[in-house]
Amino acid sequence: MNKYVLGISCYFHDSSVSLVKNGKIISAVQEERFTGIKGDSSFPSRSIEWCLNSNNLKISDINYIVFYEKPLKKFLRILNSSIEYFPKSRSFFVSQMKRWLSEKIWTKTNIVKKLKFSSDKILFCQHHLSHASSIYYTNNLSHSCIMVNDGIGEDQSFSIWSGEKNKIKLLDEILFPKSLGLFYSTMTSFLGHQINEGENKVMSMSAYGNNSLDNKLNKVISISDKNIFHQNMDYFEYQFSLYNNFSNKLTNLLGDPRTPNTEFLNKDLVLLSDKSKKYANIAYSTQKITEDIIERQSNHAYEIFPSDNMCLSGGVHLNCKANNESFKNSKFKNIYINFCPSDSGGSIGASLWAWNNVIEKNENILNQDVYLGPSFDNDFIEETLKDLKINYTKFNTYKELLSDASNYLLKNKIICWFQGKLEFGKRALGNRSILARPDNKKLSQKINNEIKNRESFQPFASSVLYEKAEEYFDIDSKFKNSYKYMSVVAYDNKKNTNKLSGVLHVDNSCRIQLVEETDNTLYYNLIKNFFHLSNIPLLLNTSLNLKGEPIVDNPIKAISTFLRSNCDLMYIGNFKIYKND
Amino acid sequence: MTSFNFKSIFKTINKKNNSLNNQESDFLNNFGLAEFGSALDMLAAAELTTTNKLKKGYLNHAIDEFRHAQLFFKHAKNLINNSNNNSANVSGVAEIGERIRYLNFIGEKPIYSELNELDFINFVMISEAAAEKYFTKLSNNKNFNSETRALFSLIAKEEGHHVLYAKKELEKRRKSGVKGIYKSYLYIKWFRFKTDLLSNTRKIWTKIGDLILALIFFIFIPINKIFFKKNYKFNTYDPRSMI
Ligand SMILES: [Fe+2]
Ligand SMILES: [Fe+2]
Ligand SMILES: [Fe+2]
Repeated sequence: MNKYVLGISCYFHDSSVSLVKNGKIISAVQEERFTGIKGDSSFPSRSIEWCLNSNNLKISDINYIVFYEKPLKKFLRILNSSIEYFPKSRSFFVSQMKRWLSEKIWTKTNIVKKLKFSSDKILFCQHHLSHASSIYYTNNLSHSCIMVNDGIGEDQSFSIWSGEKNKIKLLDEILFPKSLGLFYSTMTSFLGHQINEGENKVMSMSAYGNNSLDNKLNKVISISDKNIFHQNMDYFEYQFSLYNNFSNKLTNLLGDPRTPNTEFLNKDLVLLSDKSKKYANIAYSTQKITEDIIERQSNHAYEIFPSDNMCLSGGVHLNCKANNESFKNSKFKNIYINFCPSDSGGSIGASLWAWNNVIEKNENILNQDVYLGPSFDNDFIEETLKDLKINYTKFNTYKELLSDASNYLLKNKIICWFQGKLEFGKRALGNRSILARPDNKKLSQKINNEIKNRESFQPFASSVLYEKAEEYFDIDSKFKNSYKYMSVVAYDNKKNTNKLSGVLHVDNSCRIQLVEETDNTLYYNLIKNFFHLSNIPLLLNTSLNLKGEPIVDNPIKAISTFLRSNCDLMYIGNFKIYKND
Repeated sequence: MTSFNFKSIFKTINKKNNSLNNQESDFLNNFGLAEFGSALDMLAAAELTTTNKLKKGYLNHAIDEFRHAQLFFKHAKNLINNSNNNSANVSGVAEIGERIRYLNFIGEKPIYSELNELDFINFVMISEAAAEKYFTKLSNNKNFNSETRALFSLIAKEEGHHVLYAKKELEKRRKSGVKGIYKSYLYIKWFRFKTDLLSNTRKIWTKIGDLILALIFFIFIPINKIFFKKNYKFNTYDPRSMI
């Protein structure tokens, strides 16, 4: 008989659900994709409904529901902070208690009530263990070190685990308030970006800076021989404040924080003013010290658990530049970072942990599929297009569609690409993407300014044919399991720079996705078709959504996005639609 | 614009008597988020409706609301860029989500799925008419500069169009003999009143809650500070336990 486990992550940020059937994830989706609210943290009712319905299941078919963290343990940490920082912690205490008493503390009751599910079949995994499981149990590794780095779990902000014969054990940890992730988030808000959203913008800004503020930043956080790193908490307020992350002391040290939405670069993409220079240097030092600390963490991890393999998870490892810099000289031979290092992956980790530790012990699992969300057949898409009175062209074969799309890409058209199952996680990996040729700087600027409304300093990722990547980038075999998820940057190897002008950042790096035919046949063949026409084996790839919105899940959201954007064409299933219809 | 808590932002901003750009940009951002929330409501209606003819109308309406949101965000951004003030707030992405839910009273399910089609059209008509009225008032408020007022008046005009579309839909139904249109209108009036009331009661409870929690904070936390030992290590993990 089939056994099912449903993993849930919610109430913090980026709610999600994953469904495990006989040890394999068969469906997973983030709530934001349904509600349209980016990073939605609410109870993922719609995702649960979809997971059950799309697999023809009732809630009574589910053997266990697993929550991705231990709510009461987290609650105690918050109480503890309120006590420790009394009386400064007043508004923190009040707003936290309101959230907790109205919702979070009743997690178990909520699941029982909302889903009509038996309470003795509800399990709770630990936050960092969920992270660790989300990477270890999605790779078939018998022996691996695991490192988790995030803002904060229940009370851990960093942890090292051993993964051996399908069992994960805690080896070392760093506890709140010390946190590399929260340091980075604090600097993110200092630099005028949204927390849990703008961290990658700090990474992008850092490429414009230099090390002139390293000494100042070292007063805030620095490498330490004794306990990996030292963080001076006087510069922070997140430990007792919900809204202010940094203290006046940081402002005294670094000057005024950057006002959100103010220009950073001028029209020629050069730093606009002295102020911009200062912020670029702050971003540089923030990024550099983060990389140094992760390198130190990894050396420490190797000392206590030497292995050929290192699995990484937690939101900090969304930093694809740090992933490269911190591990390029590492003793670990293979670095694994997958599609769900952030908290949305918690549901995936928790459900796989429960499967391997509570339900079936000792079973090998291999599931690397990232395309785990809703898909729509051609009949449904055609009906939707007809209902919306949108003119379309229908292709009878995918061969025709691919040749049409690659021809338009060649002609400098920007296309929306909606195919197959929705991908899980932060990155669009070729099923819900906006695509363009990668060698046209003007085109990428157009996508930045007129379509995605991103800040002008933000670079684009590219999807590269696996077998051609080495002709363009310095590829490190260590990361071969991570490149396919856009988890690591690679640098231009100067053999074909002119073909990369739309996707290279100022530091000549690019966040790359290596695509193999077995990963995503249709997407692979699109790039290959484009390669035959242009002699360029890659495409600029950015997610199919507009600013402030999550990646689209269904045809209506895709069409709404397309119609509001300045993209030229959309390929949706077997159909093509144009702008001026 | 289907926002419920709109009235309170409107009242606050209408009282505005100085020209603090940052404060104004915060308000404009709130309007943007409210418009964004109604775009999501309309998009959900387009996804869920089984009346195929309405799909396009709902989608177009959603696209208008998304555009309104962008107009507000853009105007807020311009105000910030033209001022020398450094104190604009940065919220986390999760707080913005909460704000959208709060402003539009969005629950776990989209509002469309809680009403039937006729009720929903009435709902759109009534909410849009309210928005039109408020934005018209704001566009006449001399405390705003001419650009902001022009924006308010543009939005008011477009919300007026949305009222007309909804009215036309209802008229079509009346002509084809659909019964209960007025009853549905009254129901939505009541529904909005009830939700408004709920939202206001919630605000009052929140204030009372704040007071009680502050009291607890000043009484219990100091006691704990003296006696509490930071010791909550749990080394055995029970998978059924929340701790
Ligand atoms: Fe986390
Ligand atoms: Fe409207
Ligand atoms: Fe509107």
